Amino acid sequence: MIGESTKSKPTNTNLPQGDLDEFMKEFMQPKQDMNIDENDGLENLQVERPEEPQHIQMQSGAAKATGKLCVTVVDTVLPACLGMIAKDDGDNYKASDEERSELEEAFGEYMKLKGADVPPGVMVLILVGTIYGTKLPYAFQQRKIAAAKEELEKKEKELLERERELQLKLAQLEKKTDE
Amino acid sequence: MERTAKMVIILGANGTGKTTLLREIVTQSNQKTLIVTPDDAEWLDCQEVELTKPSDFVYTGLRRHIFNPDKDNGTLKKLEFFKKGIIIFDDCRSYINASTDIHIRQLLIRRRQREVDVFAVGHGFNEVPPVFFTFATSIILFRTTDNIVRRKNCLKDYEAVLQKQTEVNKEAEKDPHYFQIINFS
Repeated sequence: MIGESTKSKPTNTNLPQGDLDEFMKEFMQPKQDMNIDENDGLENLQVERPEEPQHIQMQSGAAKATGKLCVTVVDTVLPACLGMIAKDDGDNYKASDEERSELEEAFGEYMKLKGADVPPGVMVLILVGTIYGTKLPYAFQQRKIAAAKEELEKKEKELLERERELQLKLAQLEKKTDE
Repeated sequence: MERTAKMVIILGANGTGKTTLLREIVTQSNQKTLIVTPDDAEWLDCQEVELTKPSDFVYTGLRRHIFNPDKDNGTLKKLEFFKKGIIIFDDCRSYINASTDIHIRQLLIRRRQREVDVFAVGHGFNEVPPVFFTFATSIILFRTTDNIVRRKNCLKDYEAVLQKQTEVNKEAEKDPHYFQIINFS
């Protein structure tokens, strides 16, 4: 038997540690008596029963897929907005894998109960909007940068032309002075 | 001498002996035990209960409830009617999630008043929802292969538990059924 053949060994961490015998010795002690009866409240089980079955609006598979889509949308749009607010990379505000899976489960459960069947066409539109919509601010920013760059290049050109004219005038003046 | 109700987490990869040990513990303790499991191939020798009538909550020995998330109608909420015994959540990651956490939290908070010991069983640290770690009184740790870092915020002494995991995994190379019991004071 595992419990008898394998004993935990003491180690040098600060955590209190025990082996199975110690654990069982404590576990076999009676629990603190709270003066309760096993039957207490069971009459309410009958009353609550009719309320408990929840009306399932959606099949589990469809609800999970819709939940996943919702999480993808949320986890793309919100980090992009937060990134814009913080002037930082939006990826830093994305949910971790575990947070994502918890969100997916929660959204899935909600969809299953409330029913929010998204037609495939709308689903594609939402996805396209999510993917490209979050790139819009970046595109506008790039456009602004490109316009500023163009303006700077124009100014640089003008300055170079003016410099050339001035150098020409200077050369003429020097020539006159020499004469 | 009396003790307070326990919240024990049992962690270990497949085949390490979690269920065997658990069976031994509940059999020896001789308490009324309810096993909540998603797998109908587990705990086959236990009579099945639907948790729909009072006799599903008042009995002696071991009973199991098969948890099917697609057909469930409030099992975790109904556990508030279970008193004076042991509840085992086998492979709990499959059916406890963010939306059911509230019922588990209530159960764990009220376990002393209801005289209920709770066991949560999983294949690794990430296979047991964080709410159990918050209330854990002990962890029985077999060989686990997952990264413990995701439970950093809910573990009572993260660094020490991490060290235990390393020790247990090392010992398990020689004995695959090796485990350590970590008690939180």
